[in-house]
Amino acid sequence: METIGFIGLGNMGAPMAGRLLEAGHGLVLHDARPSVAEPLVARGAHWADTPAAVAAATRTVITIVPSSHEVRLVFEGPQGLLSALAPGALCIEMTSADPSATRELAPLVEARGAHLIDAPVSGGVRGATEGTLAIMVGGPAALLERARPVLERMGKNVFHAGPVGAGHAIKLVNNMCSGGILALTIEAVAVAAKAGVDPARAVEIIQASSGRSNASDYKFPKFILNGAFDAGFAIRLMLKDVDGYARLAQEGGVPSLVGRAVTEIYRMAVARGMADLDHTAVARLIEEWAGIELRSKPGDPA
Amino acid sequence: MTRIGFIGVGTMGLPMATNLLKKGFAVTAYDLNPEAVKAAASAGMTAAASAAEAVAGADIVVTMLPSSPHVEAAYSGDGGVINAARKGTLCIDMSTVDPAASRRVAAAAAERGIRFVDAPVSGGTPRAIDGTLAIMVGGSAEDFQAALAALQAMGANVIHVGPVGSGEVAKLCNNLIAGVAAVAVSEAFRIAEGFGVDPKVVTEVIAKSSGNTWVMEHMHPVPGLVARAASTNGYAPGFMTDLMCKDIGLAVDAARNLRIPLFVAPAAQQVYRLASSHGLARKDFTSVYTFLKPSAGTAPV
Repeated sequence: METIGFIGLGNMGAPMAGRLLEAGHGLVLHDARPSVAEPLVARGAHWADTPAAVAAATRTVITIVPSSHEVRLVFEGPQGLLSALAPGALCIEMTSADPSATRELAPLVEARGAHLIDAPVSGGVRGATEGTLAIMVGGPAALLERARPVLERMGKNVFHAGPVGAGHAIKLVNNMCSGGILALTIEAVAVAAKAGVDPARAVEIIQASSGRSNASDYKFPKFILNGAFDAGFAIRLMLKDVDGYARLAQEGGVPSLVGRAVTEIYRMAVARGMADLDHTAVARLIEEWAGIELRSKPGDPA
Repeated sequence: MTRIGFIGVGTMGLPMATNLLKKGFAVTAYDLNPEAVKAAASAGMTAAASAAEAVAGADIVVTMLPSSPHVEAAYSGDGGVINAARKGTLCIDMSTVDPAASRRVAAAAAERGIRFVDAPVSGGTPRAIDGTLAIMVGGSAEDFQAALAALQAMGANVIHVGPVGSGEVAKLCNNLIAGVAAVAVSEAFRIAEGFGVDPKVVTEVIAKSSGNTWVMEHMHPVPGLVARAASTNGYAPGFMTDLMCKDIGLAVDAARNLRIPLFVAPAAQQVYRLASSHGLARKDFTSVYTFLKPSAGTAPV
């Protein structure tokens, strides 16, 4: 089975790489912090000191790093991928990155005779661990088909979004939906609580009614009502994505009244020192504004 | 005679360059649009075939362009101002752009011994024609003094704000407030009218109260209350809705980079974007008032 290059072993990258290893792929790993690779190296993966060394050893390279800034460093920095990609190699860029940066990067990769598709993911740490991520691919269909066996080790739903950059665009759009509906549902449950509805009961009713969403179905019960706040996606990353969405809306000339309120709520959270908290902890900011806590009590609906 | 290379002779640039000409400056004009260059030639300026030709013999270069990318493109590259101008040339960028872009251009210019100030303007086309623009300047005290005579030929209030980029910062802050105020004044007067209260009397009251603003006094969004306001002239710009949207966008982008949460400015920006989608893109920004027209329906409220 093909040996895969894998760069970026954070909250998402490490379990995704773990899935490939389990499936029998050889792995050549790199991360800016060598220590994060140790558990995978202990399971048989190989460490490479630089992105260039990963490119020299493999024909399929996956990258999943915090943002377009790091993508640029990995590809264009000293000892970057671009200095060593083999002709015909395929780069699968899985970061939640800026679509315009991706569109600028693709021709640089093509100039080396290699290929780039963008394939960001949704589904969080749970999806990465269980191999049930949604993967949205931008790039030529033929390259998606080449990547599909590898992508299907990590994700259950692999979508072709459109040309290069389209995967990153729809990822930003999805995260605005996710972050926006979360903020709105938190605010709405606070309003319900002030109006005398127990928060857990309010979530249960919304979930059974037309207001149902990922927020009522999943995030409230798993991360907010129980005070866990550990969905695995930081507020600063949510802010990065909703800001990326706002840029897309601006580029497209689409009025964005709701989206703009959402960006500023997450920016306010960051300004209040919550950047590294889980994105579900934006509930704590809205709770503070409302002067109420949205936690379950004993005997509440599960 | 001071020789000026003027790049960007559009609706604002042409009357500004014409005022330089009137005050005795020798002006060579260039614009990407050949029609604009022809108009400049008809006004008595020397026409240039390229930016490089316009700045080659100039003591001072003035640029008046639509956006940050236009400014960076005009200054950089082989045929750009920084390469084509003589060492020691003073460049005055009067466009409204991201202050960070001004600083990038200034740094690149300094590497080749070219001087740079940002000097965005306020006042719109009428005051550009009258030579009474407000001009806010960012740059060293020495460069400000060197630019002053040319700037005073175009403007009545020329203020040195601080180092490079500061002029743009003042401009963005001003336009954020003016943009928000025009929406607020429009909303308030729609409410007053909804209650059937005479907007002329409300204007007199507010002019003496805490809600008074420049926008209401000079650019009243309600037609017929201020003689020189765009609203009284069918919302002919003035300052177009799309440009206001762009300028608030610059402030919103700057706030993002400074990590400042903003609520009202982005909302106002989106109101202008909506107004733009409703056919008001090239009308004066105060036409946002017409977009806030109440519905005539009988739906319960």
